[in-house]
Amino acid sequence: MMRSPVSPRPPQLAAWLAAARLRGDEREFQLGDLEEEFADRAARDGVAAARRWYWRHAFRNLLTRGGRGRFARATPVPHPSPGDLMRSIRQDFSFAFRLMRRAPVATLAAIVTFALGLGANIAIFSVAWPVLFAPLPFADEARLTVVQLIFTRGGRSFPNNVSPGDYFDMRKATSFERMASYNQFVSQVNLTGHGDAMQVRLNSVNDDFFTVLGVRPIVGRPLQSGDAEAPAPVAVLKEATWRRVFGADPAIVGRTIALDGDGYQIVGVLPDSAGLGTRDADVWIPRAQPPSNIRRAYFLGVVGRLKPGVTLDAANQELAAIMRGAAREFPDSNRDVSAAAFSFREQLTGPVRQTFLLLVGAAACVLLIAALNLAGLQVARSLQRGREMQIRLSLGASRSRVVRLLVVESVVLALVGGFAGLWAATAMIASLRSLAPALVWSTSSVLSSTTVLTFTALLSVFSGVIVGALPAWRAARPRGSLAVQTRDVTLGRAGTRARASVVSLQVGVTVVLLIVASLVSISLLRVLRINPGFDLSRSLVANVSLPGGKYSSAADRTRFFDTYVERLAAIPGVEAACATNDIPLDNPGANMTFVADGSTALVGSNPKTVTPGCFATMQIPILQGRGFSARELEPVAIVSARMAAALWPPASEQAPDAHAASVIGRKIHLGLPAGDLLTVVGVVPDILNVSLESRAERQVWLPHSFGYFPPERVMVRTSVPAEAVAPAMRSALRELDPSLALARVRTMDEVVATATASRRFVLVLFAAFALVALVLSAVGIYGVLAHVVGQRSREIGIRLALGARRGAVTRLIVGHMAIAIAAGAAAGVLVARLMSTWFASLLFRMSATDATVYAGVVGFVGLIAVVAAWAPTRRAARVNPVSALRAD
Amino acid sequence: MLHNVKDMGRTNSPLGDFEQLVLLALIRLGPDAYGATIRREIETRTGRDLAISAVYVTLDRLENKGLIRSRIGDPTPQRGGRRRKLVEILPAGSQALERAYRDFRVMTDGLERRFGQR
Repeated sequence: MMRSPVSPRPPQLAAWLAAARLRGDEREFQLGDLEEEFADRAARDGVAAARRWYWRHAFRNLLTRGGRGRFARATPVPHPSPGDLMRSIRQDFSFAFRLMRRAPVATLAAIVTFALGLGANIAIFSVAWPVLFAPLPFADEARLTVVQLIFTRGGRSFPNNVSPGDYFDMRKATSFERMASYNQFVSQVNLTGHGDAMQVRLNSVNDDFFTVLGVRPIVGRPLQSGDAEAPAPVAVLKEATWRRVFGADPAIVGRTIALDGDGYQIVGVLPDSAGLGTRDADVWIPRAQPPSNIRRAYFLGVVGRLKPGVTLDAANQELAAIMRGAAREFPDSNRDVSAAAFSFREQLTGPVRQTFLLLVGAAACVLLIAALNLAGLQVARSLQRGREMQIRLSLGASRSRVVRLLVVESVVLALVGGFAGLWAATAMIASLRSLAPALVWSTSSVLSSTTVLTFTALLSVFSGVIVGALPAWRAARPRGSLAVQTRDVTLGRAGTRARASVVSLQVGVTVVLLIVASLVSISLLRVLRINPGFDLSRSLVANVSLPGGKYSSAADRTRFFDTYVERLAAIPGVEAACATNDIPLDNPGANMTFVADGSTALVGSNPKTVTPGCFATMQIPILQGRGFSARELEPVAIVSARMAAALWPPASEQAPDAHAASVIGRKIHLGLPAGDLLTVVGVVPDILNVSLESRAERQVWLPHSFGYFPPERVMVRTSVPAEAVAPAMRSALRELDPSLALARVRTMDEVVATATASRRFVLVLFAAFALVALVLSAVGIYGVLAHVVGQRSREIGIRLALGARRGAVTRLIVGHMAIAIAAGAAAGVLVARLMSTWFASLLFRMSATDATVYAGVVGFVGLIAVVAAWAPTRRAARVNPVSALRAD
Repeated sequence: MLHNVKDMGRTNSPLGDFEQLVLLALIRLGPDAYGATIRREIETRTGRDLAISAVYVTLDRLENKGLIRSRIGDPTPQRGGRRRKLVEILPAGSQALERAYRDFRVMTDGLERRFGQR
């Protein structure tokens, strides 16, 4: 029978394992037998079962004693029973513990090193694993997709929300089992009837949305088809809200809650992770499918569940075809608009994947450095114990038995270190999570302690085996007669070279980590030093949202905010107060277009509706014209300098001031050339609105009495610490309307801290890893040099006795180590340069190959190396030839 | 315990339990037996899950004792182009097995009820 090219092959790694302990002349026959049986089993039981069988037998081959010619005895030796094996391993363990007690300092050093290296990895594992690999809490997540429109504008394509009309068309795609949509805009509503009124986030979704997502409710049921038409409005709660507001009341289902005064019956509680599929909210209410004739309003998020067996490519081809049809039918709205489905997980983790992989890599580097130090330590210790090992070998212990003894010792150290590292990491993980709201997607990404424990145990054992095995194999080499062994405590030339290259490697890795950490920290400092164009200090912001019923007219809302702002300003310690539709740097919302009177060019801008006191509260100076007055008689607007320049491009020679002055009194249309006309009464500087890291935006300021974009936030500037006025702000609101809640009270410093959280998260981790790497490398350099000096002190003594100068002798000893360190640093710089494109995304307006930073890091590492080398070098220089020779 | 090196490999040393199983398999399989077929024969009949290397260690020992002999077969595609080591039982092997069987039968004579008829 000819082997067809597609017939299954046994797993390569397993085959390699199976062959590892086979005698050369038997390997062919045994591997052949295994492969033959593998093929039979694959045909009979399936490939997966055959692979499992093969792996099992590969391991058995590895473990079967006597498989290897060198160990084969001439007489049949009874196989050790499992009981014997366990007993002897237990002996190894108890021996290891005895040794640890006998050399407490060396043991402690090894445990701390293991703890640092393993702890770093445990911490990053606990945070990164759920994000990168853990299954999502949705049924059959592989078939879940996020569907988005793809706009092509000016040669660039970008994804966008979906309009109801496009959603209606896309639902016809047969590649999808089902599609459902949610509203991208989350509203703040007042929940009343449970103590103080409080604000909750409300989102509306298709009634079958959570069924499509495959969310399992904690209590009751998710929303389901038909809920939108039910006679009594229904809602589902998020678990966190259920716990926080209703004390996890198991009888919640059937109760009615009041949202902005309207009653909703609770039908179920969903896990917090349900929010991953939509905009995160506290309460979800069902909505019927949106009307199919709205095309230019893009406010839907869409998820689709592929039919089993349908690929993403096939679905995308179908979506593209549907959108081509829509473009023909509705050329006005749908020209250059296509659609695509993306893997749900990719959408969720894509943005943070690279950051986490970099962090995982950095942690692995720390472990590598730690392992190299430990291997060095083990080599030194095993040399000291060379005599013990030789006695064991001479008394008939097999080499593998001696190796096992040494490996067990190192595994014990690693396990103790690993669990010490876990203890340290647990403390770190909590603070990491709080730092990383933007990176770690939700509270659902908490790893079970079993997973972390398993990871800790596995990584510890693995590192212990790696660290222990190599030195142990060397130490357990039979070396002839015992008599010779008594003096054999040196490393030899090859060993010294190996340790010098270990130092190079450690220094190189440390340099890379330090370079990244330095660049990241400089970036954070730069971000924090940015002037946003308004004053952040001593400012408090809070949300107030007015329910539609009681405050349905613009006049009602205006009156409310005028009164509330007045009362806020009267609070002792408050210098200025205002209300606005959104706060800069805190997820500002809407965008709209404006048109200069007489022009047709649409200019996009983020409109801010403000009470008159806002420029004083934010400390934004008026460049030209005036601010808003309490009652504007005609429609007016204030524009930022950039907006003014976009509406009326300045003449080439015109000074900015002159240009700003020239726009006062000009008119702009709201929205379209036919829109309402506003008169520009003032010009203010640009501010950073969306984020500290973006460019200043074009801004149009409108009086809140204007009616559009009603205020939802209040802001106060204080002369006392900002937090102190929060209670007074609350009671002022309660006096005005007890059904309203003051929500999310925060200082502007906190707003900025949230906005820079992911940057600080990355920095904290990189800085910690780099620091640990630096300390471990310094210890490594010290250890190697101390060892070399101690070992060669006799040689130094002879050289000195023969008349060599001390300086020359010292140079001889430490010279090659200096070369190793320099080579390592140079390699580190090179690797950092080569990797710079990977971490450039973590930086802010600076080059990933900044020469000053690179030079600074190399200088710093050099300095640390000198410090680490100081003591051993001095000892080398102070060797007394007489005592060194007498020691013989 | 002292060993006389020259005694090693003599055919009159008693057969181990596993050696008996391998020799019995060789008789059942005939002259073209090899590792995989022996392993499978013992596994299917006794239900023991064996490592292939254990079979080879035993074959090695039996060959040293002069109870079996081996030759190298041709490479086959199912084996990834590897050759087989074919083994067959020698008269000395059959005799050793017969002796073991006789001992076993003599020793179990009258005890059938105790072990049951399997």
